[in-house]
Order: sequence, then C-alpha cells, then structure tokens
Amino acid sequence: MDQDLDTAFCPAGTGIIFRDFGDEMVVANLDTGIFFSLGGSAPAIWAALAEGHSARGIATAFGGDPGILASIGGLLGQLRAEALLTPAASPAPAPAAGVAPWAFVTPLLERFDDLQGLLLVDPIHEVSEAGWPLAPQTLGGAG
Amino acid sequence: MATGAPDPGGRRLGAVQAPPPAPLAKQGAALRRCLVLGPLRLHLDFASPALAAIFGDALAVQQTDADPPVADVQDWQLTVAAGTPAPAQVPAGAGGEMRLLADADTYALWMGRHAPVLHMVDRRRRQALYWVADPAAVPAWERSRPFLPILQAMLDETPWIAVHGAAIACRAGAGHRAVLLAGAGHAGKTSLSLAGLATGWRFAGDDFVLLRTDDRPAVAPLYATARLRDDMLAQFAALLPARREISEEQGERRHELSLAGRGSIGGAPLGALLLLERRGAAAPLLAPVTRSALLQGLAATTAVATPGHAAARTGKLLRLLGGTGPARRFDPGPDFPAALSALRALLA
Repeated sequence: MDQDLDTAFCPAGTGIIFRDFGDEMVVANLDTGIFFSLGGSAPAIWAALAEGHSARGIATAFGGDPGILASIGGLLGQLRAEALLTPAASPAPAPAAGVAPWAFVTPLLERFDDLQGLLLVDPIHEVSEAGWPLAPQTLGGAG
Repeated sequence: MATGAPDPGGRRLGAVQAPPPAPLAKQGAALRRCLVLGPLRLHLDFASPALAAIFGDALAVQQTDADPPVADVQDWQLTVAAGTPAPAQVPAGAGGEMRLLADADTYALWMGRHAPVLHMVDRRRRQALYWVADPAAVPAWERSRPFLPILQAMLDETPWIAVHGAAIACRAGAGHRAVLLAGAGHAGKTSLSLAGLATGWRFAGDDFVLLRTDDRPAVAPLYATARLRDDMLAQFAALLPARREISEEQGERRHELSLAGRGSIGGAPLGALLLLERRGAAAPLLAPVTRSALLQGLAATTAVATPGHAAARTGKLLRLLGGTGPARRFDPGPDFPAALSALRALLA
C-alpha cells in the first residue's frame, strides 16, 4: 500500500533474526520456522528498513527512479506479508542517503519453509504463565 | 542431584528432582560413567543396570577415570532413572501433548505421546535428569541417540551446538579436517559417513554431531551409533556384527549399529560444510549453495529434535555459516570411493 512507502518499520519481534553474509542475507522467522534468502539489493533494503528508513527514502538513496520505488515497495509488501516487519514507533534519525552503497539490483526474496512443515506435524506446547502441568498427586515434591 | 530443595528462584517448575541418590551410590562404579562430549564432561549415574545396558554404549566419547585434559570443559551431572517414584514434573495423564519449558534457569521437555520420557536440566546447578516410565518403552531412536534435548540444553552456554548432520574427517596436512554433511533424511548422510569410517576416515556421527560455532569451528562426536536402512545393508555387510537390534520406524526397518571399537571415532577442525543432495549425478558434483539452504538443512530436524531456545541456537548456526570454510551443495554420485576422493580434495 502507498502509505507503507512512507512508514518506518522494524523487525517484527525477537523471533526475527538476520545476518548479512555479503553476497546473501538470511532472515529467519523463528516463530514460524520459515527462513528467507535475500539477494540482489534486498540485503541493503532490508538493513535500511530494519533501521527505520522508509521505502521512499531508500528509493531516493538508490536514485529515486519510479521503477526502483515500485520494486522496493514490492519487496516491502512481501516482507510485510511474511510478518517480518512491523511499523516502528519512530523513524530512523538519519537520512537514508548511506543505505545504497551500490547500484540497484532487482531485489530477490527466496522462501524456505521445510521447517514450518516439520513444526506443524507435531507442535510443541510451550508452558504458559499457568505453569508446568504438575501431576496433582505429586504436588509438594513427593517425587 | 538436588532433590526437592526450595527453589530460591521461585520458578514455575520447582526444583529439579531425581529419585533418591543413596541406593545409586551403593550400586558402585559400574553404574557411573564419566564421558567427554565436546565441551562437556558428563558424569552419568544410571539408576539401574538395565538403564546402563540400554544407553551405556551409545555415547561416543572415551570413558575416563581421570580428569581429561580438555580446556574450558564444563562438568555436568546427569541422572538416568526409570519407574517409580516418578518425578513430580511428570504431567498428569501420561502421554498427551509434548510440553516444553525453556528459560534461563531450567529446561524441561515432556515427550508426551512419543515416549514416556522427561528431560530436565537445572542450568544453575549443572544437573540434569532423564526419566522414563518404563525402560522397555524407550523408542529405538532414543536408544540410538539418547539424552539429545538434555545435551543440547547443556551446550546452550557454550559455543557448541548439537546439529542434525553427519561428519567425517580425514588427514589434511599435519592434522585432520572434518566435513559436515547436512541434509534431509535419505540424503545419504549415513551411507557416506559409514563409507568413510570403513576406509579409515574419522567418524563423528551419521545423524547428530557436535559443532563448535565460534571462530574455531570444529566437529566432535556425540554418538557411537548408526542406523542403517535395509537398502543400505548390502553395502555395509561388514558392519553387521555391530548390530544391536533391528527396529522399525515409520514403516522402515532400521539396523541399529553400535560402532564403539569399530573404527576411529572422533572429531576435527571443520574444513567444509556441505548440503548433501542426491540428484542423480553420474559422478561426484560440487555446486554453489546459499547459506539459507544450508541453514535450513542444519536447523530443521535440529529444531524439532531439540526444541527450545530457537533464537540463540539459530544464531549459533548463522555465526558458523559466516565463518566456516567452503560451503557447497554435494551430490556424491553412485560411487563411494569417488565421493570420498572428492571430499578429500576439498579438504586438502
């Protein structure tokens, strides 16, 4: 959506971890078990988005071509759809000028969801605030 | 093992509890083992000879009566118990859903419908408990690779992680270098690693191995076991005397092998990381691979087999992927000697 182009985002929680390997960025959503490979200019765009820069600001840093803005907006839409980004409380303090050190290359996002399939086969129930389900007859440490 | 002591942390789970230790002490040293697993020095207490017989030979490391010369080793106590009295933490109504509690102090995993097994780790006291309702109910996969969630929890405060993969090492220069073989089930991890063992390579595991993920990446063995499917049997007939039992899992027969004394079991610095995939190549084929695919290959079954602390554990793997040597996709082709030659060249 157009308003997203001017919105500041941040990673959607502690379950989103990422690492830049130079030629590839890996983003993992540990809540769903889905991993993503970011290629082309997507690593630089992700890094800038995760710092709170808007898509429009990032597109400007890449030269401001309308096609680039559309491409970045498309990637942002995918990242939002995968629940990897959420609106940030505040935008990045610095302008996005430094986020585009290289020429723009069509951003790529590849999805790896085998782990999600495994997790769905037999979900593990993490103990909630209600506590571990102790057997009533053994409460009090009779074990 | 602390038993029923008040828990100053006020945690929801209560203190880790084990069966009374006194009878254990009277049964003598035969039920006690001290093993070194990567950065862990594990003091094992088996509550009965039956439990020692079930699990005693599965772990891969040298037994020692003296302090081994391992730097930065952490001492951990693991009590292996069965039957009554059940620990208080066994949920009411055995079976049911798997339950997990993983926080900074405690790790607890109830296997629910899969097995009447409770894994508990008290990180502060460095004590753990493996409890099973009935030793006869321990599944074959658990007998072959016991205590895995517990060992993973013990490793959480170290740079090491137990990962789903095979690893073998060969001589390279003055020492050995290891290759880690990641990949889904049926990718060929077991057959290639056993082919290496049979031809003098050092074997670190065919299913789960220990992996050091800091700036000194390395592999260490975790188990001295392997699980052969029927279709692999003809290729490894020489290993039949190592068969402990035949099990069945998801409709497939497995020949459970105990490899202790059957060759060189050990680890080495990590030289290469491969994603094993059989795509019908006529000869060994190395190809580029993305780190995402490797991460997926390493993390998928690891996360399922050792649930909890996913962020920290995946972070370890990400760190490893940024610092290790060659990473490739590998189709070994139909010929083991040729595949091992390709690996040897990669590690040289």
